[in-house]
Amino acid sequence: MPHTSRPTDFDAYWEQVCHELTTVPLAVETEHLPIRSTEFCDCYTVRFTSIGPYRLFGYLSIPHGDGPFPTLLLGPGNHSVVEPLPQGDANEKRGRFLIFAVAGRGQRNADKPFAAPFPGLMTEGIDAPETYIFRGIVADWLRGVDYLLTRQEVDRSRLAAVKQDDLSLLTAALRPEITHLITSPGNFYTARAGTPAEVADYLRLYPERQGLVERTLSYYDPVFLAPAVNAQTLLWADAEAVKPLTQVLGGECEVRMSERSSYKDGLYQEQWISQQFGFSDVIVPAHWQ
Amino acid sequence: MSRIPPEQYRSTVTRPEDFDAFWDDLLAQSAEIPLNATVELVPLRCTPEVEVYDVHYDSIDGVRIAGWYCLPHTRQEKLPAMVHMPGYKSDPSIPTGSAREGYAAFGAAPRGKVRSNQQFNPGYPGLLTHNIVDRNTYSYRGFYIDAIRIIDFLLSRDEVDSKRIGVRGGSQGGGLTIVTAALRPEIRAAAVGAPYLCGFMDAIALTHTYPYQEIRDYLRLYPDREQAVRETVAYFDGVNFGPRITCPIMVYIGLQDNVCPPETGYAAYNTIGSEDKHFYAYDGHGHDAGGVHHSALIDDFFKTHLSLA
Repeated sequence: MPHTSRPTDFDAYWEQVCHELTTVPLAVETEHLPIRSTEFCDCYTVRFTSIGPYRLFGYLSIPHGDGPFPTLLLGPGNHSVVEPLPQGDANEKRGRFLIFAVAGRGQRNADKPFAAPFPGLMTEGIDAPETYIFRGIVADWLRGVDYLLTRQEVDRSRLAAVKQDDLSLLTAALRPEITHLITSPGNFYTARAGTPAEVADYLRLYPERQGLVERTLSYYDPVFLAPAVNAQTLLWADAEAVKPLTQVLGGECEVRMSERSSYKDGLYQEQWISQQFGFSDVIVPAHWQ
Repeated sequence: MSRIPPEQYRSTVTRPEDFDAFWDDLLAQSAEIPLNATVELVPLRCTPEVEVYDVHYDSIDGVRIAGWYCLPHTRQEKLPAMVHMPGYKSDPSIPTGSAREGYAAFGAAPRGKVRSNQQFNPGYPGLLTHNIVDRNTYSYRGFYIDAIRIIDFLLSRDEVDSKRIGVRGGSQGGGLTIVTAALRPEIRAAAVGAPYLCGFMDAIALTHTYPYQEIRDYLRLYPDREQAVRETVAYFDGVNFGPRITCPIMVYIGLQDNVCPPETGYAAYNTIGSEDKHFYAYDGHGHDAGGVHHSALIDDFFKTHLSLA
């Protein structure tokens, strides 16, 4: 590491991913999930197909009442567990927001035939951009958007991609239907100036592959896709550290530094999205009230 | 919303009369099962300072359990040991940091966790309510035993000083730390952050957030099973393990914890039997439990009690 140059075929690489998605039917199976449904929402499991083809999984929570509803897309990441609602969020949020939590390839409920290693996902197929696992995982995020756009309950003027890593930003760049974005620099941004831990392990064992790894990661540099973002953005970061990103990011962006308190950061984030979506109040857990 | 100050909250947890007998019997069952441990170097995760090993061992119900074991590359003949207990949804990490500090460090992955889920995989959500009406098959029966058998593994290692074993963790890792400190007298010091699995039935009344929400979900669907659920979880509640703890222990929580209500942290701490116990409540913090302020205290605590040079 680090890499700094935009690959000459950067656009073609992502256009190919988007094209492949158009050739794969969504093939949706939706089943009601009574145990995760409540008096204010219904929950469903959703199975659908991404590139590969690979079968994905998601939890879909739809508020009772007349839609369309403001929508939160919670996409895949570098961890095994995907829940209907993030740990610690007030369950009552599911009565206001349509929430779609997607398990990408390798995550639980989408781990057949590929059960992702944790740690290890970050370097799976990393020797070439064509084989890199995150080519599929970004496609899985995009597939989540594609599915939501088939649902009449989704308010297309209020569709947020929410994840504190690079993947939500890449998604917002590749799917202009994303209107709001909550993100933060993750491993791919880190790779601009340093070496993510799993990648460091890999290069310690295979130092001769450094050039290949740098080339692959350059396709995932959020700075190269940021100009395509048009969403209203909350970017969790040190403003100075993300200048290369904010200088090119499309759309309005608020950069906010973590207070290193899950309470203070979490409360701010809930207030931000509620305000952005036009609510005068915010739904937070009991111990934040 | 008006709430009772957490330190004034009174837990509804009751201790079953046969609580100790239940666990003593399980400990005896566990002791009869050979570990059959395998230890394999993982070159991909080794660093110039730390050797990383992939460990597997047998636990009750015939379930094979994984873990990460790390040793400082340059080491004394006998090392203090540190067990890192995992959170509920997080993937077990490789505790290279503790090994760099001089510990023989073990990263636990009880059944259902990645690498320990071939034979038992109730999922997330799912783990918390798996067989929750039957204490003899409830998910956490095996899960707890998997965790405490790590001590047997450490005692089997020539490089570990059996008189200097510590355990630590946050959230579910905090709950597992309480359980391990209670059931294994070999534990010499324990650090508990934002403990989960303490005051189960208190928590579902105090908060509407996952993972405790799993129990609310279950009882919404099966309201007639509430008494059975209450009876089962009493055998697994950290509040009830507290009286068995005699080692030095610290508990730290966030007063705005939205995952494990602070009331339950107080409840767990109050029952701990150790005379050398310390409590830290951080205002302005949630489930992070004030870790930004507290981590140095944890390091010093273990250095003191495990005589780390």
